[in-house]
Amino acid sequence: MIRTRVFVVAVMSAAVVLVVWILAWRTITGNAAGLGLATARPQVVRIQVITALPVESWVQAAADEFNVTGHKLEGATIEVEIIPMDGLAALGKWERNDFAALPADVLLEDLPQEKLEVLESFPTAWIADGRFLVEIANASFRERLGRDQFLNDGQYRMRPLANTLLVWGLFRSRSAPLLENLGPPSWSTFHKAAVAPTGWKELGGDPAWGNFKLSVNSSGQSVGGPAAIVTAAGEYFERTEVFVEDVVDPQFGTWLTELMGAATQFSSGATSTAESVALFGYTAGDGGQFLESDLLQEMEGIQKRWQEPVVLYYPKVTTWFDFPFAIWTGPETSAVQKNAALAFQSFLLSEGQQRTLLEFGLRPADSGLPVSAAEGSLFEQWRRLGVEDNVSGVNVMQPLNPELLSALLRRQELNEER
Amino acid sequence: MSEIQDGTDQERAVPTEAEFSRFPPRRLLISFAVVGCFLLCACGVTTVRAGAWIAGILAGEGSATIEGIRAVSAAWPSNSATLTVAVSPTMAVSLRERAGRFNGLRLRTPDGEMMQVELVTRSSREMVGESLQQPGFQAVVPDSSLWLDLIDVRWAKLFPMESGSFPASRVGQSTLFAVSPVVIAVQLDAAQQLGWPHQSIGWKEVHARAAAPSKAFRWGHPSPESTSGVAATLSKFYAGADITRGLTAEIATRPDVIDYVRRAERSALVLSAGGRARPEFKQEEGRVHGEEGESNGLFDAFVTQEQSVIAWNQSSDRGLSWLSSEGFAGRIFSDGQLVAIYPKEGTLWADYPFALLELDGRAGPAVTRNQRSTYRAFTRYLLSKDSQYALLEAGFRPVDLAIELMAEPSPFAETGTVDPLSPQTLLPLPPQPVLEIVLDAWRLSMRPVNVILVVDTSESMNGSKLARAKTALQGFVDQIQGDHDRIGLVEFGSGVKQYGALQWLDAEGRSQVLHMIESMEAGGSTRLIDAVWAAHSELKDLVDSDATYAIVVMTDGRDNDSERRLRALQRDIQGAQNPVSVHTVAFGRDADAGLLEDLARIGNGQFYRADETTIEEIYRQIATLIQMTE
Repeated sequence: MIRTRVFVVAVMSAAVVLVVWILAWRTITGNAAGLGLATARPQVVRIQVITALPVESWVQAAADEFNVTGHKLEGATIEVEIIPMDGLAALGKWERNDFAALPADVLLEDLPQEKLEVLESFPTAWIADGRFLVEIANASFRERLGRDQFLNDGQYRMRPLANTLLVWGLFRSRSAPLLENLGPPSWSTFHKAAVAPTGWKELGGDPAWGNFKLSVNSSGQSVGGPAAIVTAAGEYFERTEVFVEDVVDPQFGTWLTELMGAATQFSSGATSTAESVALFGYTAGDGGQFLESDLLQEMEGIQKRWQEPVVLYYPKVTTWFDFPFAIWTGPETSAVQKNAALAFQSFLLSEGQQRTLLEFGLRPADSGLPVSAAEGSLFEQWRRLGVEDNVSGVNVMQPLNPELLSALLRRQELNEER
Repeated sequence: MSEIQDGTDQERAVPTEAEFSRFPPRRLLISFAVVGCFLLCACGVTTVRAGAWIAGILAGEGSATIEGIRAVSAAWPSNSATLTVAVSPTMAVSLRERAGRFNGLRLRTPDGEMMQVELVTRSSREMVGESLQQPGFQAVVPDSSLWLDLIDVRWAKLFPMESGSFPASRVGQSTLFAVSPVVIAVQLDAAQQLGWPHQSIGWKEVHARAAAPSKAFRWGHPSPESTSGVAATLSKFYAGADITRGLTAEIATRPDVIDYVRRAERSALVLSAGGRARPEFKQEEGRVHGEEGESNGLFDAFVTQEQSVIAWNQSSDRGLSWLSSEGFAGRIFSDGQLVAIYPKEGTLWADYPFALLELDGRAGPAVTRNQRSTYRAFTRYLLSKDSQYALLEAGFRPVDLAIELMAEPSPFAETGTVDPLSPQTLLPLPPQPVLEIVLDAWRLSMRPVNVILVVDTSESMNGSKLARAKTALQGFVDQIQGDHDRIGLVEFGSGVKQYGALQWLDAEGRSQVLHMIESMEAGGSTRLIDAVWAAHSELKDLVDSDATYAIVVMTDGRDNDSERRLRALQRDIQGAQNPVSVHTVAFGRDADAGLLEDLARIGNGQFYRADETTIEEIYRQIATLIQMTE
């Protein structure tokens, strides 16, 4: 008996010593990940947020602040990882099921380990460029899974984070001769400039500037492309709602092809037309269509590198982007992750962050907060270049629907085959 | 005892009251034992894993490796944090330096793996081809985004989606970290003769000056495997069509345009990837040095990126080192200053996108989560102030717009030879089908090819050697694309085993040549010179004045049975009506390199060494070389 007692005590003592040693070692190294018992009790909740490119800088800065502050949920620290992605690229991934969402008839508990590991990188939330993208994704989910995965109501409903709109911009040196000869910027003005056979020579500018170059996103692979064509169609047909019949109209097609002949369609590595203009100057465009926030963010760099600014003009018809924060409600992410995403969403909508986004040229989700509400507001800094506080007079295009988007993508395919 | 064995001896099995007072209850004891065992197992597993981790460190696993070019296999562990990046030659030096410093930071992924960046050098066009298969790299830095678009367009064709839906994409996240416009780098005196700095100069002026009968102005550009090469080639189409935009397939294939492009191609010296040039490049090099002395360079003007001009003028020569692999170092230009001409019709940009490939695991391992972490960390590193200033110092324009280009110590400040406010206009990239025509423009200017493959299939070629040689030969035939080209085959051992006369490379002829290659068998001795003699006899009297004639000889052994001697062959080659170039490949260590070098010299061709891993690439190079010969 005594021997048995000694054995039991020895075993338990050895176990306690080892546990103490391991805990001490972990404390010293501070490296818990991937080591034995470290995974037994989750201390960190990691969430991945797919984020539209125009708000990436702001959201990334906010995520850094959020992570450093050590927000906790049920005792676990929340870690937010931002995955920057163009809205159309993300929509394509949802539609093709690149993130490997589970089919409707498969339960999480039936999955083998390797499939569960794949789900570790499943996005917890998506900040799309506009609500219309989320709605198109939902339409696809309804068809495939029988329900919406991003909700319009309830606790996890999507909430817009910020606003921005499409505006015109022209290098100052180019704006004077263009305005004098063709009038204020519009699609019609740019069409006339695009078809001028000798370019700037007949537009009143320096012949060394070459042809008129239009900075506009005409790509079928980013959300700016379809948005640009829709606003062009809106101006062409003089209405704020565009239909599939409009974009396949042969006369409109000819006009648009002539217009896009001047489009530079620059680098796919740059995140926006404004960034292209900042990096590549006049070769990326003498002027064109930009997101107001992108242009304001890049303005200082444009001035520094090209020794002159781009002047802003507000169009008669535009498209707004509201960047909704949409939380995935499917079983691929845990309840804790969903709640962590909710916590991050609240952080982004806090007054402090809503003031911070003015420093990124974004307009607050709360329309009661003036664009001059922050000391570093880009709206204040660039007011002399034509920035307006109130743009309620601008007509707003109806959002894209799946049929119209599909028609625009088909048009893009045809163009690429030519 | 039987009762005890049956478990019915209650007296022995159940402790007494007194025993309870001295010992914990049995159930409790068992519980303790179970918990203890569990803790021991858990600690054991943890200790073993920790031990393995420590052993890994001691063994050097995860430590920083020396960065640089090395062969990579298309397989990596599922937790790999090593990111292999294919980089274009013009960025390789700068990026290698950055990768070395990044690796020195010894960053780790959240699961403790060491982040590493390794580089392999590829031409941008090679990256496109490899990215469509299962490459040995997970990320690319081509010299322009146009190559990423090309990857995606070709990928979408490989995996077509329903019309109107979202095309599949091979290229994932991409970031720019440095840019540089394509310029015509011109020697200062030659630039002044062109009218610089008072007149704006365009591609057309350069084409015209190079085509002048005096031949006083020599210009060149890379082949369209790089963005500089695409810009130079594209300029010929625009100039030929007399337009500055709107290049369509109809225009690009118009006879007058093709004629202009053909003439412009012939007035330029075109270097292909890695600095390999057409044979006349070497002849031209010899002529220049023979007549004008060692200090003179080969070119008055060369199309490259602005960064090369800065590097050249700083004497760091980084930008041109990628051209120097064939021993041309320091002689591309004379010693003087270069001037960057921003062509008035427009130009392209080298914008160096750093892009992650979406390898999805269909044909090999997928990009791991850790590699994605390394990609993001290296991206942040490249965008850091330290890296951005280092790239500026090397002559690139950093993407950090807060960095002033024109303030000291920027190499752009007050040089006068580059203009940070240029270019003003763009050479528009045509749609992808037209771009494909431009990429293959060199075919327009090439003469018909008549080539005979002389292949040793003696006994020593048995086994994997012959299999690799067959693959290389098939690749060679695939590369000769024109319907007006002809290929023949002489398979030799103790004698000529198979003799395939020159075949037109239409579908039927191509199939016959491929069938002959497939049916080759090893056996016999080596009658090398006799086989070359036979091939030369067919080529030397052909009447096709506009064609190129070549023999490609491959052997792994020594001539031990030929009736003819080398001197007789030399007389035959030198006395022939048609100039037949002879290129030779020494396959393996036992090949008679001396004889093959002599043969190549006599035949005014190139000599190559190859082994089983390089034989395909060697044949690919020879195919390009023969087709570009004028």
